[in-house]
Amino acid sequence: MPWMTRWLKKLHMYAGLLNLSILLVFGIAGLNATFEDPGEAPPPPTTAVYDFQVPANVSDYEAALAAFRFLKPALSEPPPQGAIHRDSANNVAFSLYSVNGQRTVTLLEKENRVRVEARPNELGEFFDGLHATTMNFAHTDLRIRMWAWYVEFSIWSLIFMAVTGVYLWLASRPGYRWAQVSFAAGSGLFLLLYAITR
Amino acid sequence: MYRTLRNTHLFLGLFCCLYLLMYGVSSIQMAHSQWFSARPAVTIIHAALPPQTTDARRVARSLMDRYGMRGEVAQVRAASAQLSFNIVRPGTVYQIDYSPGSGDTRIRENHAGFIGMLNRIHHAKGFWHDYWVLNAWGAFVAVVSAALIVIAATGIYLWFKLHQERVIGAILLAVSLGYSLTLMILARTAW
Repeated sequence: MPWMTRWLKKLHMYAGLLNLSILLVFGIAGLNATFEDPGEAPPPPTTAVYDFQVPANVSDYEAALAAFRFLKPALSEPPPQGAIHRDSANNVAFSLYSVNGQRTVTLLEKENRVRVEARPNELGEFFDGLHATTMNFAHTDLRIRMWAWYVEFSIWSLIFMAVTGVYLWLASRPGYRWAQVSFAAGSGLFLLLYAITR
Repeated sequence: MYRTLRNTHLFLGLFCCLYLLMYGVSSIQMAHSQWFSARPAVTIIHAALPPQTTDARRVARSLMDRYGMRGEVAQVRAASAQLSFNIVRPGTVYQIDYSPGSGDTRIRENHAGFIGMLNRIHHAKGFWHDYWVLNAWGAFVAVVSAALIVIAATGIYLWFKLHQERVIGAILLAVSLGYSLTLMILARTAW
């Protein structure tokens, strides 16, 4: 079916063009994950303290949400109830995560202040965060929600390109020896490693 | 040049095909976890090991030798009455609770199904593991990641050489880059 091959080749190429930057993000995220050092201590956080009074007659969770609304941290989602805890000094504390890094917020109620310790992500970690931004969470920030749509599109595109790539090879040059070797080597190693891991 | 890059695109794509499918399918599972049941099969067994061992690694070694458990030791929690740790490999987690006083050992084996297994392989990375299989997966992460970058770059070249596809391709590329780079810059500068 030459018409089908022709159209699949077009669609394979269009999918690749529409996903160029995110394929690069995936590649960079994978290389960053490969060469990160799990034993490396994170850099010390930068600390900022703001005047903030916790509203009267609220629970720890509501106090944390009030602090979140006061701080309006970019790209972060409000903390879930399970993420609110009291630290060793008995202060309400919670962490916020975004593709740009982590913030730990501590309510210093005796002082009517809130402390924010920020650990910004390096560029590699930023790409790692981007590649993991999926539609599994209801992102409230429009930028992150739009990026999650793009990741969703790219996931399906990746599967489509992998399948059509094999089809296009089989439809055009199935007897090409080096292509056979590449496919057999990659698939064989994957299946062997899968079986050993299982 | 064209032939070399076309073959590079083909060979790398075919070599990485199953890995890319694994990443794609496991990503769908993570993005739409409600579509799948990734709950592992759980088996609990009890074993009698020699008492008075206070090192989790020695207990793990005994379990590996006696029961053929494979993986790396993780999340060690040592208390006077109990030694707890995990033996982990992608798709399988053994949660061990060992009582040094009696040698009684409770083993909870969590064995993931196919989709759970893909999920764990997706997260395997790096070369720092004690268990060689994890390092092998880490090596493939590096190879596939580098290959993905080369596949993308060679794909752009191959498209550009197809003159009849340049206009529509340029439009798609401009839309894609405009959308993604704008969002990346907006996200990176929002802190």
